[in-house]
Amino acid sequence: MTRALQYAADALSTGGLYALFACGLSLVLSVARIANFAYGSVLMVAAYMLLVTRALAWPIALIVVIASAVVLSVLIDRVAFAPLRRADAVTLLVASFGVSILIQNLVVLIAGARPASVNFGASFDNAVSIGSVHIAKIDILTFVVTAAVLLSLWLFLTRSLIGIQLRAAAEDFTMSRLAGVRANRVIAVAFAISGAIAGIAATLLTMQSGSLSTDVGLQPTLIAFIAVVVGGTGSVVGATVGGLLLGIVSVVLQATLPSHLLPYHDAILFSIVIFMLLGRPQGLFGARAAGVRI
Amino acid sequence: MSEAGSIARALWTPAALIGGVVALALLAGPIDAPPALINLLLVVGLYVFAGNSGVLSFGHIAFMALGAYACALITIPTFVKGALLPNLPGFLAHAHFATTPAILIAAGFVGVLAFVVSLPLMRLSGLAAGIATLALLVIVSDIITNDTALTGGSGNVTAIPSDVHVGRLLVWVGIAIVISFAYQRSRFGRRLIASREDEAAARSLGIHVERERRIAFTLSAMITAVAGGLYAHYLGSIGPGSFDLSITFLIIAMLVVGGMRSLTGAVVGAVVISAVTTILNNWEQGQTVLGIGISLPAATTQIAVAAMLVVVLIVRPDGLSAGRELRWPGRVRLAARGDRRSAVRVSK
Amino acid sequence: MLAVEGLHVRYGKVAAVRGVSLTCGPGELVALLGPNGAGKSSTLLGIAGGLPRGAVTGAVSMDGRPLQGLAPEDVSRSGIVLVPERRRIFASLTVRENLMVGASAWAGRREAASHAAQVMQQFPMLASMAHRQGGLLSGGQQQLLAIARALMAKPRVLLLDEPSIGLAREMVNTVFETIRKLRDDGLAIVLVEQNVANAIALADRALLLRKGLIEGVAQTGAEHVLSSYFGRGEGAVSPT
Repeated sequence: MTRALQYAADALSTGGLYALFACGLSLVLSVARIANFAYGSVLMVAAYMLLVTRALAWPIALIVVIASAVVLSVLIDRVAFAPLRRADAVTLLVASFGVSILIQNLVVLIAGARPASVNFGASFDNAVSIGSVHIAKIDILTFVVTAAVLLSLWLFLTRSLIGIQLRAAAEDFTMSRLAGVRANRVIAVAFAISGAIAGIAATLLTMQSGSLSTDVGLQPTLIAFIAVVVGGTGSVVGATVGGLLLGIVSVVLQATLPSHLLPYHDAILFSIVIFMLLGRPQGLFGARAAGVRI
Repeated sequence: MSEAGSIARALWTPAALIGGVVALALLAGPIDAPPALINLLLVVGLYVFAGNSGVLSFGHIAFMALGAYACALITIPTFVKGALLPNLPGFLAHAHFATTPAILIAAGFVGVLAFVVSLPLMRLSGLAAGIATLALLVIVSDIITNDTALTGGSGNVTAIPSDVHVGRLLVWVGIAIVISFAYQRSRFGRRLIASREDEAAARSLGIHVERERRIAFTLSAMITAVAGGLYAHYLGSIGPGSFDLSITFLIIAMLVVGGMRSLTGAVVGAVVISAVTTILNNWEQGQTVLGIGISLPAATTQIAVAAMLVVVLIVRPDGLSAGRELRWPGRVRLAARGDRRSAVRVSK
Repeated sequence: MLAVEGLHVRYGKVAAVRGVSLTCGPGELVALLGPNGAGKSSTLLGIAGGLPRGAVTGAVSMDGRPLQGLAPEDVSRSGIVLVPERRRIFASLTVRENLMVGASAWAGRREAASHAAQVMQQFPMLASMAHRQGGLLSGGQQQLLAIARALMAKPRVLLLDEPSIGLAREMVNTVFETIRKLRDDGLAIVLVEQNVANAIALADRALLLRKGLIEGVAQTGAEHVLSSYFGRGEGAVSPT
């Protein structure tokens, strides 16, 4: 029972983080039709900004980190993707791949390739005990922050005019423009929110691991992509749920795999995903047509 | 046109490409040429699937890794193997082949594997297919890193006979170019290209798109596996770190910069990017050019390749070759400088 | 006033529209008639900016201000709004949200919401289902929603593409009644319609399109247009 609760807490925290990764990626995918591999490099740069701002008070540091992720995300769109608005999905994916390698190596150039350590939010290292269950504070924080971010995103998408425009653009981009929605503006907003989410996710991730390297964005990007495919491309809600599911399945695998198979955790997880796609190529929550759009 | 003329015409593209590559390889010399030739082989391998089908694979380096390990495990002298990998299953522990048969065996093994993998994979399309191929790379490198009995885990597998030199590589590159060209001119290749141009129309003509993709995927994985085997025998030592996203990126960048939709594009892209990376790599090591000591920081090469990729996508989205093959009679194959548009006389 | 001069639309090598000219002033209704593939929808999309930039050539202007080459969102800002073929309402958005998106050209959230309430008063059928998802509406309701969404932009010119297609007869009447009202309120309307009789009954002018060209213009008189549409009575049609 205690173990089960422990794992449940773990699953919620991991799932929450994965859901965060996924919704940031899927927002840009659904609005701008860009499978943005450079999302991971935004996340990585945000993590490095934690290093840069380590001398500042944490609220200011946090604001700087998130703001820089937002600026970088929007900048990537303006410089690399805006000239490619009419390109097909594969071209955009390759371009974003190029951008991510470019940014990653620019950071190597500036900060060096060696991993660094960061102790941002070290006070969250210890655990809270409820009875015999010990839950790391960082897990609680991760879950609370994720819930808060997802809730605000949902409110934004349903209550604000630009949020409604974003959803309209995600459904039928040309029609939304015919109705007067400014294309560049909704795309910029999608990239900005995606950047903000990457910034928050980077902070949580770095607090959990305490270390930094230039490939820190890779794993989250992979997970986000897989969550998006699992959830169904074109649906932010689907992707978010996909991320949550992926996190839960991952923790369940950690808990139940025999020890000699544990190293193959990722391989098994990804194989499960491929087999799931066989049954539902459009993802768990995608409409049949969604696959055609991307 | 006479029959002899049409044969000459049909052979012109592969012959010209091979000739150009041989000339450049001799120019580059025994140190710089082999890595470039291995990359060229990888690009041609990827092209056979991605170029003809229009579906990009992010997972082909998995086949390179499998080819390299498979080839290594059956060519390392058995007495060394006993010490290096004591837990190998019996048939591998005793297997010992010469390099060329070993490469063919590895290619066959990878071909079977790729075909099996393609059964589910080719049912996917678009983003799902791209992500699934990427997941394949993760799965394979996960297995290579952790299956200590088979691969020595995250350490390197060493003592692979390093008997691959420029000549041998050129032969394989020639074979790959001929096979690739023959494939795209065959019924199978033409059907796949038709599905790339208009999938719905191809289907309505009765083309079984998934089947055609599976054939190309398998062939393409086999060429990639050959490159992996040659890579193992060129370096003499391989580890899981050699088969990662950065080589995946490099190969995709070569294909896209050259122009994904033609064999000429694949070769031109590999040659151009190899030239750039070779020069920059040397400068990163520190080299004196015209009396000026140049020493670039280590990330420069990657930055240059990534920047080239993004710029080409924006300025010339169909790549340097614009998706065309060399035209008969070609006047200038590869312009060293100046306007490629006029220098490379091309047609479909 | 909307003025179109020598509009061409090309899809790759296929020329869909080959030089269409028309004008439409306040309170005027111009009908575009013709067989399938005549270029009617392409003409409307070309005017509205809904096609790739290279596909459209020719001059489109509103009150003398040139509009060709503008992005669709900018065309809608100039007061020309398209109600496209198959309605294209946002299926996952509620009726109210669909309307609010329609006001994107000029409104903030508050104005959009209050204008939506106003427009819904004109469409009682929609008002009762303000919070229902667009995709759950019937075809006729979707058509009214599409028109209402266009009205949210406060247009001066409405481009209507096949508003009555696939609707039950009763609904067709409602739709045409709505169109008549809008015209009487002073909107300029360009109407593409398969339902020739209903279109002619409302039209001030009817243009006959065939293979991307205007074959004839009928000023008034429903019978003349009708007969020319069916290939007779060419005397009634002034050649262009």
